[in-house]
Amino acid sequence: MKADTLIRDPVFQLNLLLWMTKEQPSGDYRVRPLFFELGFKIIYIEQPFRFPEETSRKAIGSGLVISEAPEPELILGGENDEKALYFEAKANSFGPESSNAKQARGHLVATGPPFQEVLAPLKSCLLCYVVPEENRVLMLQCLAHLSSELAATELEPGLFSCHGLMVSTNQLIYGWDVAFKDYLGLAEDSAIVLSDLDDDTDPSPLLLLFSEEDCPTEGMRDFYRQVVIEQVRARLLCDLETLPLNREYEISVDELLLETSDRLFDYLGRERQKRLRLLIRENLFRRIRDYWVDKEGVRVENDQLYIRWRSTIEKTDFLAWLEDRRLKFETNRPIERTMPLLEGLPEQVVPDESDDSA
Amino acid sequence: MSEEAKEGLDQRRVRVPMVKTFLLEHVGSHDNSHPKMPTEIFGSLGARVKRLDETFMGVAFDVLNPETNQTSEVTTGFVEQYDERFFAYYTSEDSTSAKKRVATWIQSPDLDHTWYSGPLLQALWDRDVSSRGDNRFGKLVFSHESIFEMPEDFASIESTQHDYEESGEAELGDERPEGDDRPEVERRKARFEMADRIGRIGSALKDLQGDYAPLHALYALRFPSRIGRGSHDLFQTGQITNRSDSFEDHRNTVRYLYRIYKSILDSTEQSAWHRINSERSLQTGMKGVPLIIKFEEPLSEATFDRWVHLGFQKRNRFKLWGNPIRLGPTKVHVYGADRHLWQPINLEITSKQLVAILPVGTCGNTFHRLVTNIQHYVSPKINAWVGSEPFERLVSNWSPNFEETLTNEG
Repeated sequence: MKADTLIRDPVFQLNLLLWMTKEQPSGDYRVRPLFFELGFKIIYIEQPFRFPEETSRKAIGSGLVISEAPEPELILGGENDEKALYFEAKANSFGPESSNAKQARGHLVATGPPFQEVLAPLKSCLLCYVVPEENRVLMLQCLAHLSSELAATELEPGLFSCHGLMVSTNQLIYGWDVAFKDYLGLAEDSAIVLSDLDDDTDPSPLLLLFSEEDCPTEGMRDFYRQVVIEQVRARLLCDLETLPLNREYEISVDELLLETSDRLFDYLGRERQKRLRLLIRENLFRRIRDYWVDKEGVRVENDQLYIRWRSTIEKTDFLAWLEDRRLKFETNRPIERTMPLLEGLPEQVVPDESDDSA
Repeated sequence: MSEEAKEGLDQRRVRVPMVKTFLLEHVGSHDNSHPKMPTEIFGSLGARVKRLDETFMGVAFDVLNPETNQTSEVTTGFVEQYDERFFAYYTSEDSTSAKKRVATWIQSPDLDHTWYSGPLLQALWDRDVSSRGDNRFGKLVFSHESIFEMPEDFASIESTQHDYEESGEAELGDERPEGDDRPEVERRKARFEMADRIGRIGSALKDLQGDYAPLHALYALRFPSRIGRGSHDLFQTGQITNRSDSFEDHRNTVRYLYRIYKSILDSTEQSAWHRINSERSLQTGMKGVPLIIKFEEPLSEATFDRWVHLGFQKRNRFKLWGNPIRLGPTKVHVYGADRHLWQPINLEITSKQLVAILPVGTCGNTFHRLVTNIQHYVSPKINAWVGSEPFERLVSNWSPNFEETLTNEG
């Protein structure tokens, strides 16, 4: 995947932002840790921001279409709880008439006075929209328009800025506007965050977080799904290699996803959780169930995996199968099914109304 | 340590003078799981454990006598427990048997070597050994073998999988038997030994290292005794061989090296996961910082391919499991597991560097094993960081008080 395609991928954008917050060596970083250098740390990732009651009332009374629980990609908090950065990443800019405007109004409201109320002791916040550099000015114009709309009501929108991602020669450059410079007292307009880009190499750093609905292309979704499946498979291997004989191991899809996401799964929105849960249940647990259906020691019931080995042979057989690197789990989009009410009846496929190529 | 234990060891030392000590880490003790007692750990390895006092115990195994072809119970050595996490195993078995025994033990997920990487051995030289007296004799051994480097025309004899598999290391100073009749692969393989007066080594070392990268891959280091004649040889995998007149001096040296290793492992884990802890920060592994290892010379595409192909097979020296996902000709991501500790590890490997992230709360031992193995088998000269902290600084940072205990403890 080429870098100029990836800068439009919200999963790549979010992971880049997370890496920019990770402590790394100052000159020999993997991704320039710009936000770490500026003293910021992660507060929330993909967690809905719920308006205080008074703000909700004003939002409803404004006559504007406003998301009441906007979900930013990331919120970073600065040293001494003085300042915060509230990120939303987009593949493209959009106009005030777009369906995305509802969410953007929500972000603008959230980063106003409600921010301090909800996330005290943080004192102030800057909304940062991250888009490809060529869309940055249009995005800024849209936010200015939406902000003035809100200011004309009882609501008080927060400060906002736009950041652009650009590939130049073999570098990925992260640029920002005057509002960001003023807010943080920066002298520069941009920073090189990734170097040594090659046309034939995907520049992605290690994936820290993936949610399917954020990914725009099927090819990248396959890659991200493979990562999630491999992470869960590794976690299972780690648990099971040390499982003694005659001891029951019981784990759910959710527990595995919590482990592999370092408990971040809990913070994801319901739809994002549902997609990941489905992926592991259908592409991993179902494969385990189908392969081990007539064998001893392994049982899968819905989202739950049960293992109890009574002999070393049982254990060795299963682990050799799971460890075998020739074993590939499907990475295509899982089909949702419902379990039959009576045993022996076929499972029902749930029609999928979402668009996989959106 | 009880009088009985001392007497036992001294008697064995007289009969078989080379006492070897293996510093071992109980790798199940760092997380939330219940740490096991050494009696339980060694018991599960087939040992009869006889406790001699609160921290000292004898370890007996059934040993085959080749002369009589009879098996009998033999006390092969003694275990001293320093804390929940670290043990010293003292033995006067011959080197081959002792290493074989310990190599078998560390197949268990409960135990691992302590990993004295090249940077740590260099720090021990810089901070300690180099100042033990210019006229004392010291010894440094450097070892590097680019096991994944292979000329194309040599592919036909490459089937000796042994090269990539884990095996016991040679004794310090031993020559590896190449054999006149075996084909030898043309690849980078360097093994140097500098045995000389410390002053001479000190004045030459930096220049030599500047000229030849494998002289950064320190494999073993000799510590001249603080109190008398002789010395103690420390190897990368935590083996310490007593070449001094005194077992007590040896024991103090082992304890000193344990304290340093423990302190460095604590710092590593602190750097990797805890230093940036914050009350309000999201309690997830997103806070974990990466280990970054940069190779001074980029690997060729063929070497990179071979590493990716062989480095994750079942019995590999890196003890890693995973399915490399290709992102380019010389870049892979591996969302896999450390198959020795059975803990997850995420790796990005390119021809220029390796980036590793471990989940919060896992064992920092993996970082030290990775650095050690990369320097030994992939790139002899590296620069590494845990988060923003240079690895060299991390492994140089132990309390000077540890050195005082060398001569004060009895």
